Amino acid sequence: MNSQILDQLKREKILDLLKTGKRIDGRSLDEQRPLVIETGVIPKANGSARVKLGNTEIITGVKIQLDKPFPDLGDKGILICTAEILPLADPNAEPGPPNEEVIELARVVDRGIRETEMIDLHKLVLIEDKSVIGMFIDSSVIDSGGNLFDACSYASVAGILSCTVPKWEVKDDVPTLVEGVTSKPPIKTLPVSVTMARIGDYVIVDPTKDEESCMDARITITTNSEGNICAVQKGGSDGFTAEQLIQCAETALTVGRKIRKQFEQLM
Amino acid sequence: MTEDGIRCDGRRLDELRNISIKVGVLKNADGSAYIEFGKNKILAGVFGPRDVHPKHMANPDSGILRCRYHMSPFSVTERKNPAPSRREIEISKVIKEALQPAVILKDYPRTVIDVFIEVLQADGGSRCAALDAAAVALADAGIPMRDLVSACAAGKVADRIVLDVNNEEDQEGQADMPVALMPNLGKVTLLQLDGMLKPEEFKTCMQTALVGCKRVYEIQRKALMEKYFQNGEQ
Amino acid sequence: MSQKPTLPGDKIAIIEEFEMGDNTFDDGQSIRSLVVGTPEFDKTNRIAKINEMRRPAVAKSGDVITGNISALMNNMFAINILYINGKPTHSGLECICQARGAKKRILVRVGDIVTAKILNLLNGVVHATISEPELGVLFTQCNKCGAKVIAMGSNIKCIDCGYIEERKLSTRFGNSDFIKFNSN
Repeated sequence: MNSQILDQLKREKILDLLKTGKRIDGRSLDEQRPLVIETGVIPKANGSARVKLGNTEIITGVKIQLDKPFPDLGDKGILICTAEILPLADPNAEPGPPNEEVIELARVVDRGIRETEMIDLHKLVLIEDKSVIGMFIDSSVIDSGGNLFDACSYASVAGILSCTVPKWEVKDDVPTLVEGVTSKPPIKTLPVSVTMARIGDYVIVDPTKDEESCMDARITITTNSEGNICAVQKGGSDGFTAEQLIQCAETALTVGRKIRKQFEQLM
Repeated sequence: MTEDGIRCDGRRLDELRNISIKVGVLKNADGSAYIEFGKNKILAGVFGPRDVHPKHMANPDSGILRCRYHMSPFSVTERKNPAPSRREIEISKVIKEALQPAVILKDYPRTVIDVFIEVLQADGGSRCAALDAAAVALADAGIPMRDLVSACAAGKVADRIVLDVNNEEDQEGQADMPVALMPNLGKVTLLQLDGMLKPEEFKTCMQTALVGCKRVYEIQRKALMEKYFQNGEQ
Repeated sequence: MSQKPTLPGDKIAIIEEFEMGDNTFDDGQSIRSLVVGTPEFDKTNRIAKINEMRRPAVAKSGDVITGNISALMNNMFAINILYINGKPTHSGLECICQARGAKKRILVRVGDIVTAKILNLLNGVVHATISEPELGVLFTQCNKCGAKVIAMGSNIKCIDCGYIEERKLSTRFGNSDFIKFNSN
């Protein structure tokens, strides 16, 4: 269905504009699309968010339930982030088991939240090695317009921030739900993922679907509130120079600060 | 339910839950709709007519209609595995067959019209709400249709026939009967029943559901008119 | 006078009064709308039709399409439609062009971007033509080395290796204004 010549022509047009410091939608190279966050959209979930990043739209729901810890991690609660591109989100998405791109998306979103240690998993333990609180953060892409990595990550973080965690009390070695008592999740830091694409010699922040279709390489960098770099994923069929990557890390920190302010307003 | 027929959520016997429909909510889909039907929150997106994959499904004489009803993991109380369950596959099939009589497929041979339904939050009667959204999304995509399809359930709760069964009533009730109707042509395109009804109850139950379908139709109508003709209907 | 808007299933006339026009059907008694639109009554020819608000992305006769050549056969070729009247489509549908005289000269090659006009729809196959000056190849590349080519009369010449090949070129050859980007 895709035409090689058409992709080349699109790339030439995008590159011509980039030479003048502009992008096809009028943004500057290091400018993100507007981010709109709405929380509490799925009242039946323990936390939820609907996030729009330009034309990309995500719905995330957080479910919190009693669980058994992983055998080797008895002193930690369970945190699992998933992501799915719904077939109604994209003409090229197909129903059925997730393909490698969707699995990469889910894993990168999960890694960003896990490696920044956004949630203090030790505080989710009810009985060590036996009973813990499990948090399932499921993101669904409902409209795909490029940069699903950041959009899903923002939706997941916003969903977690909007969460209320039920209370379980341990009675006779059995956790029992205490009705009507909830608390905020134990949040330590705010992860912000920033994805950049390289097209020719130019590195652009928050690529659209058109820009992604002709990029050479992609990099997603997640930073935490303390300004550390916590998770990175390089993608695409070409590479970056070391100088470009160092620049990308700096961009991720500066761009990330603005997004983090938006998150702070949700707390 | 109280003596004078006030239900657990405060409705009268013949009262629908609150329904709102928004048309054209997705940018990638050719047609789309979002419905809130009580606590149900459902998105429907339509793609096509388009090339059929896999190719062997294509019909040289007519287009085909495909439908996928899917529930988000966070849509129900216990987190749901995202892989489609037998229930979702059956509902996909009955929704497809409820829409098919309305859709003109003859004009688009060798193509497929895909209807994708995502239940973001479920609350009893989700198949009817899904159908209502799907019919509006098909019309939004400009697909030629003989009629809209409007769906609503009726049931039996505490020995009384009620319109639009919610989740609690479905669990406690004696019968649940989802019905879909092509309102202008008067044809019933979906009918299921779970539970036990006496023959005269069956009749009242169906009539109650049909009245509900017609009320849903007015809401579907209003949503489409608002999208395409700003002043609505004169 | 503006007509009352219609939705699928709405009755717009009775069959004794009018014949069915575009986007209508009859149920044996009435003429009804098939789409969201506004009715139009041709009182001289007694035809009732609906002007639709939205049309599926399926090419109709008279449409001008742009797409890439997906297959080349003995006396015809297939175009994968990417734009219909300038509007991008992702339907993946194809149309067929008869390639009269293709044995004598090369008209197109697989991958070329061409613009064509839809002639008709027969038995579920969309037929198109490129036999008009503005129709034909818009973009292609050298068949030998894949580099850029320039037009030379009715031929193309590779700017790298100098290889010359025939094509049915459009008068708009090399013009990429048809490319649209989604904003944001």
